[in-house]
Amino acid sequence: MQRYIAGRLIQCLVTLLVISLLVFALARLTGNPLDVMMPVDASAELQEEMSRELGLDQPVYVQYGRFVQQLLHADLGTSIRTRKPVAELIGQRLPNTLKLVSFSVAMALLLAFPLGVIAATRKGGLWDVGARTVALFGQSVPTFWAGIVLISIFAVNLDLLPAGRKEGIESYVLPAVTLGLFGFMLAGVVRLLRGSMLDVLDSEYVKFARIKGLAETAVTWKHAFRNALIPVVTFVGFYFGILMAGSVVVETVFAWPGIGRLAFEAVQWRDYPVIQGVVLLVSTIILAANLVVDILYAYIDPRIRYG
Amino acid sequence: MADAGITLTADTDVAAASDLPGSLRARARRLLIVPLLILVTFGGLGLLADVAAPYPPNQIALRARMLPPFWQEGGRLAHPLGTDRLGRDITSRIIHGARVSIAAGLAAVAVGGVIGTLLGLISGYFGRWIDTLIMRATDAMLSLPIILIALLFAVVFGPSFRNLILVLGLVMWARFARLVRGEVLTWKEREFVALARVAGCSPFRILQRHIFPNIVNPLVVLATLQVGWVIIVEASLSFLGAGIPPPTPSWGAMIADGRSHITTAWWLSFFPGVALVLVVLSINLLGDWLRDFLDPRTRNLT
Repeated sequence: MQRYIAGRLIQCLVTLLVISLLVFALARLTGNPLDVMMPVDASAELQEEMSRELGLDQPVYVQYGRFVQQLLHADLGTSIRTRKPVAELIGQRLPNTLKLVSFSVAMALLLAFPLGVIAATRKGGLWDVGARTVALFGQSVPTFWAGIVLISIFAVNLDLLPAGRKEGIESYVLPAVTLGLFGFMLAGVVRLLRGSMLDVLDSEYVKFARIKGLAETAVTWKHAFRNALIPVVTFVGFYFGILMAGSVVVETVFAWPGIGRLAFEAVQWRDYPVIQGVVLLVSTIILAANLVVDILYAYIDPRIRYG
Repeated sequence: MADAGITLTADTDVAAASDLPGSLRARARRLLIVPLLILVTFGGLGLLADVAAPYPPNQIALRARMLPPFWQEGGRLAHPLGTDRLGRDITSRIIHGARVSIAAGLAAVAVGGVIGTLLGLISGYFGRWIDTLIMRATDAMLSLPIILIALLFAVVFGPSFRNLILVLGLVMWARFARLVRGEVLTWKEREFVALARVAGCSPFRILQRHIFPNIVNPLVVLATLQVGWVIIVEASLSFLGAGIPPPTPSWGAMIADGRSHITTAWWLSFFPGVALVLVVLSINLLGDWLRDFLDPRTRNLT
């Protein structure tokens, strides 16, 4: 067990190392940071002094070492545009993104659980076709367009719901519906749950529960559903992080003050340190979510530990 | 959203369309003609955009600004889907946008597919340290937030079609590598491969002649579904201003343009989005059908 966790932990660290190298290499390619920071007519001595102060006269591997060291101290650098520490900018916005993504996941699961289960129990029927159609649309409609259409229907024409900006609980409805229903989460869970329910419903212990004379609802929800959930939980854990990245688009549509919107604004200003910070943070969250799910499974299912 | 597709591809969804009862399946197959027609239409329009579009995509006509579609008051038949704030014809821009979207989808999948297939073949056949190395890299790639990485690239290199394809291809190879490796592992233990080895075939020849032909079908299914995914990601990036730079008409950028006029000119965002959804929906339907048809293992499930 400990060996398994240690192995997975090392794997995550290696991945983080690869990502930090990528980000660092790309940062070098944006050009000399001095060009951005110094006035055009700065003297050669001044440039040299600044370069020494920032450590730019050191070999590249030393610079990378410093970069990693700063990361380990949660120092993500300074925004070129606002001159504020990136960690602070992200810290202010992160809760908004986390809340939005959590709402979206809840929304998606609330719909996907009944749909996936009913689709499997009435395989081939109208419900099944309906569930698969929902999944197909969830997979084929881009979030940003869905968001705009929803705004134009519910905010502009019907004037029922606010078109974003975080004010009160009802401002969550449209962005969360957009991200949850069209962010692949709903589609993925419906398909996965349907498939895994079909497998489980065909198993011996479900047949046995039926022979015992249990009502079909009890068999479906108490015996089959719980076991069918196992692959779904992995998927949801994995997708939580992916949705955080996907929320860039939804936050832009709804002017949502989260880290995605922060990244979008940074693109407009070519504010590299900010995007770099968001990329590193979201990657870390994705990896951490995967790791937690994997470790939980190793506890639940010994086959994974020794497999 | 668009950072998806990893789990929605061939292997997870074994029980998709294949387990509908016979009559529904037959009906579904007949219905396949609709997505095929849609794809052929958009593909043809995209190819022949210069001839098929009624106006040049960037022709500005300030007198005909913000015209609504023809059935609304003030609309003209000359601009059936209306015009934007510069008087550019929406219909023509959608037709030219089809070229960009489909080209991006095919090019990125080609780049990622070729690299991923080669690495997957090597990884699966030779095993050992090279397998570990390639699979670790694959895991790392699959946990990258793709949209954000693409934003990073756009800021560093500036948005351009070529950079977009490179980024998407670079993150996509991992999906192909993982699929191909798994397939190679199941085929390389077969007797005909062992016989080929005894007969003195080189690893290269075994992979090319004896293993690869067996992998083509799942590969085609994955590639098809990935094209739809890439089209959505490309549109998302263009929407964020990190995809295909203006004035080249792209669906994502058109939808972004319309966002600021949402209270007055709904058609600006609506129609490019409809085109996008129609194409991606058709590709996904086709992919699901191809999986049933080409992948014998899922076919046998019925």
